[in-house]
Amino acid sequence: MATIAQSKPGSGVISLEDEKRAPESMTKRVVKRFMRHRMAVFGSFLLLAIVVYVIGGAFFYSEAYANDASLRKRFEAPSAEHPLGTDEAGRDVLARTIYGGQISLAIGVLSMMITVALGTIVGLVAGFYGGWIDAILMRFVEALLTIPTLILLLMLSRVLIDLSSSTIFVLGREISITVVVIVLIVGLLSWMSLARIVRSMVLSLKEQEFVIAATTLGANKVRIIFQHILPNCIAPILVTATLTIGGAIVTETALSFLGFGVMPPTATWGNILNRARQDIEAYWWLWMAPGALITLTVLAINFIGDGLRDAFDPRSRK
Amino acid sequence: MFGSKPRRLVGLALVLVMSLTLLVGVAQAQEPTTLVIGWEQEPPLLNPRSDMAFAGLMDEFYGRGVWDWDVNRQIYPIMVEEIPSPDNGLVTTNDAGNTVVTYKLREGMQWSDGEPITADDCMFWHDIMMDPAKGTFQRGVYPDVVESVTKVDDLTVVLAYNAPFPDYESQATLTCSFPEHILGPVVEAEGTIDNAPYFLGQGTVGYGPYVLSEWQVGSSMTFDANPLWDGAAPAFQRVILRFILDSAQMQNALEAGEIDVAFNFSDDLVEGYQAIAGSDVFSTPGVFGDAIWMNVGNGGHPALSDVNVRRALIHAIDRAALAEELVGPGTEVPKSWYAAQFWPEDLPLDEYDVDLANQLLTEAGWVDADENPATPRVASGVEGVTDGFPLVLRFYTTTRQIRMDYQTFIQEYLNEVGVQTLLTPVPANLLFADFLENGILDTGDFDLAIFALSAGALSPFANAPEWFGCEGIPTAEKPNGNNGWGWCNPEWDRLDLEVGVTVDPTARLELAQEAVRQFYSGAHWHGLYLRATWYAVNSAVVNPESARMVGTLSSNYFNMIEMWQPAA
Amino acid sequence: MFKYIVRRILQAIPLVFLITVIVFTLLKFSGDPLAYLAQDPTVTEADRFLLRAKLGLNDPMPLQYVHWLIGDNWYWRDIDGDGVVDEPGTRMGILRGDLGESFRFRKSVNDVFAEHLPRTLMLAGTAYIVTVVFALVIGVFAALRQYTIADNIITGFSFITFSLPVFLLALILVQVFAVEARKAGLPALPVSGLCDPRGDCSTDEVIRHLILPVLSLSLISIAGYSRYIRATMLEVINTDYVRTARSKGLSENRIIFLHALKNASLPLVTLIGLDIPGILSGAVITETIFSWPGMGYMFTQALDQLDAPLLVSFVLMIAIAVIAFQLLTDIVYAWLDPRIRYT
Repeated sequence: MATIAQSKPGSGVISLEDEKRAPESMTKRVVKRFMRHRMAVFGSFLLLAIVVYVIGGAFFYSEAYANDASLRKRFEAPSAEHPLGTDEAGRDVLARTIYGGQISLAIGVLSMMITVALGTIVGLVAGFYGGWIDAILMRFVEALLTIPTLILLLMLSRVLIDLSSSTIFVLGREISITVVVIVLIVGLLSWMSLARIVRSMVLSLKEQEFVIAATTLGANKVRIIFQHILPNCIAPILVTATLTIGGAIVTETALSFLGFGVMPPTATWGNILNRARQDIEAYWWLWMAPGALITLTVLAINFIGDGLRDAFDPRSRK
Repeated sequence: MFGSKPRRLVGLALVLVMSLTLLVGVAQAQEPTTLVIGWEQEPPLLNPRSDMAFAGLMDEFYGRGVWDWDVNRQIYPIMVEEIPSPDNGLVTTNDAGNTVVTYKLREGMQWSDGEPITADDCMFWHDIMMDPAKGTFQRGVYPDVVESVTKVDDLTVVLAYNAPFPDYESQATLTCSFPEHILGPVVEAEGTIDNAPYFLGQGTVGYGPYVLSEWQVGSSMTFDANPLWDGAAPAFQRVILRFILDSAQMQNALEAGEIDVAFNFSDDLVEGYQAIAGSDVFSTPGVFGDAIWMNVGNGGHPALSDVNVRRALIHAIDRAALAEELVGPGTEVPKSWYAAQFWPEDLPLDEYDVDLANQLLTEAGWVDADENPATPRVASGVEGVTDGFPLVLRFYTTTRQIRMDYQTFIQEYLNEVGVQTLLTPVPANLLFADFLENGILDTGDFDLAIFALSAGALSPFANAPEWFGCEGIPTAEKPNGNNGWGWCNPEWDRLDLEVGVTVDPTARLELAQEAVRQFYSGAHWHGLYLRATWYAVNSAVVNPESARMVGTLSSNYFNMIEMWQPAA
Repeated sequence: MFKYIVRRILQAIPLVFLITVIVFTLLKFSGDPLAYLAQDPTVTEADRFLLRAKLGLNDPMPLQYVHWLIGDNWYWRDIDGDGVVDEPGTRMGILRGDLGESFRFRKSVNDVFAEHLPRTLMLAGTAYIVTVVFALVIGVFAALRQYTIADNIITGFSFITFSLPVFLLALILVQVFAVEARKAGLPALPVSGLCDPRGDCSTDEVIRHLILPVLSLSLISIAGYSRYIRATMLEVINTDYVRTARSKGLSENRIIFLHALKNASLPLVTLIGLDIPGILSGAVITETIFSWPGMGYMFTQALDQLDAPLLVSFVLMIAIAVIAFQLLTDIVYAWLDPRIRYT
């Protein structure tokens, strides 16, 4: 096998020296470096503002108002009553970007959780146990990485939409099952590179003195993983987690365009935007707000990801 | 080894940018006698029997049939000397009482390669229709109702049905549009016409104002005027069908002059097309359209088995306002699935009446127990239903935009009367899949659904036992039916069969009107609107008045294409 | 080296078949390929049965996979449902070089690929070249001017285009350069298609039609690539080796282009090698918007009708290309960097 550490964008390598010298001050130093990264700080504030918008906005507009269809008010341009105009069902676009934003961000966060959980577990298990477990897991990772993601996404959403066609209730809200479908497919299809990074880190960590020492002292394997190996993998996990949130939001938008997105009546930024595409000149207010929100969110997340990467690994990529 | 490359790459980049910018300036020339028509979906094959949506379109250009219907739905002959009828003696009844129709072909007709069109071509077509092995396509009722076809001479063919058959004009008609001299040898050699290169546009000949000269798969089809066509010579020497997948881009293409005609676009795009400078937008009245289908007796919500609840639901929806706002001003709400000319005069339409809806629901035992309009009504003393069972309905449709818009508003209307709905738009092939493939409709796994099923525009014979008959309810033993809503009315079944074989027009209309009444009494089908066929033409290229000569049967969009005139 | 290549190829075979089995199974759970006929009452159930029989859809699912694999010309089917077998199939199977017949396009998958692949190579290939060239220029430039205003502007702009939804960018480009430009009487670009079928499909015409789709594809990916090149360049510039070269008094151009870029291009080769096979799958969204009938368009059409033979062959083709390019990348890499040895 080739033994090159392929450094693709998205990988970050932690400096072990830092860790061994002064474990307590590590976090502090990362935070300090992160704060020096102007774009990352700007991104953090931007993201915070967006989160405040979608959560705080809910106190000003009720969900019932966001879903209140009105036959006589379809496609109205922005006015004092509807600052961002109305959509195809006469619903207030401002209120819908608030509730749609909750769903969009939730899709991002939930699929990130799946990605991180799967990627970390598979990477740890493959790297730590090695042997045939490693071989099987890595072949499977390879198989998934071999097919272009959008192709897999579309095929999988085609299947999952078929398996479940109903509505679910979450916290008293009626939500289309397609939200779950999208969380699942994005989560299930973006963990592979994280698994590879974690695996290669575990492989190199396994040879480090402190791990060898713990093993020879007869420490429990699970304990070794959680106490010694996992903390060292925080950097790539955090970076991947951040970028996956942005990726999931963009993916939902792309799927909306191709007809596999979240189905109405549940709003997302992606499907509000998609409704405007039939005439972007006439319905400019329908795409400008969700388009800007998607772009700003993804932008903020990318800035943060970039800053995190630099903060964890000050030597390069800066 | 990469030493001097980067500088070269930078140079290459600059050259690329410059050449691209220069090319932007090149203006395009346009031939005045060419007409470009935009079309959303490319057909897989040219075989008009394998793709119905495309069938009409192809036929109008190079595969004209024996006769057709004009913009006023008047029948006119094309390949035959005159339309057969009892008056001119070409439609008779044989000893068994069955209908016999004589087709007299006009003299001197030629395929576009110069071969004469004769009775042999008609015989060849019949031969393929009767034998499934010879070709895979949509045969309709033809093999079931045709007894025999006999060639009398080179230009005369006689078709005998196996029953009295009043619909000989519009159903199970003999067609002569497969050239025997080209496809005959294919059947000889391969046993089937399925894989004939003819249907992939290679060596395709036809009888119509145009011939196919080029098919660029995925991109366009080019038709040129057919010099051997003996009808009116087309004013446009060339017609190009251009495939544009995205509906927004179709509009842009018309605006940018890349296409001259857009048609069959959905109703919610009409305003966008009207806003394009120089475009002329018109429509032909719809033949069929979307409707709410209620699952009456195939595993739907128990409330829906009560006809009064079904009536109540429809009284709660202002269908006229929805049609006016979502489809367009002046859109009518159809009273029945049947075409309007077969409705009895006193056929009612369930008008919008919230009070009546509330009253009907309460009388039926579905009550607003907690007097809270935000919660659904519940059962109270309904036979076979536990008290307190909520009136929440599963509401499906496809992902077509106008249907989803309808769904949104219908949900609002039903909420007003205490009926809650769970909206689920799904991909069409999930909704319409077969029973064995777990199709939502076929398995009865729904309460309400919005979709369209076309009805015969010319005949009152529904001929759809699979869709409406008692026999059509799909089960594991008989999975073939499509009557997933479980409507079963033996009286309607009997009437429909009788309509099919009643020749006398007056008696037939009476029977048909009775069938329509029976259908209406089921309250399982509620029309929303009739889907108009929309056209938008660039009035700088086409004379809009001449373009208004189009067919109105929803499958003959361009049957007067030879009459279209360039703009003055 | 030779042994390494042979072993990689042998390893790849089960992987490829695993992929096709996964995809085939997924598709068979996705619904009825002929459901689109259901809304048309002129299509009787008998017609549908017949069509299904002829397409082999009535066969048991594992058998359908076997047919796709080794052909069905030995398998007699009951076409009309009367319980008596009527005729054998006609396909040879993928192992005999026949990728099957597409439901959607009604012809052999080989022919469908032959029609669509060149167009995708034209669009995605051009876009890829444009992307790499611009990314190199921008990335190197930004790395040399780290933290200057120019660097920040480039970084900001690339982050914004990177974050835009593809279809929104494409539609805005069309609106501005095709529709509004034309209204304003300026030279306008075509809205969609391969070329204007009214004229002859000359090279000029095709290039004009390529501009907008290429632009919308490249604008988004240039950002990622130039960031990557900038990062690797910075990494190399800060190495001892470049510092030594500087201290030796070599000219700055010579250092950057001969030494730094050469070393920075190593990871770039990997990236390009891994990305090229992705080009084959086409750009689904861009091709749809611009009605560019390439592989992406073909894929969505096929997915719409659950065209299993086409989709499985399509994924198979991409998988083989990916594996081949991985191998090629390894070989090129070893050749570029003699320190690497394969065993």
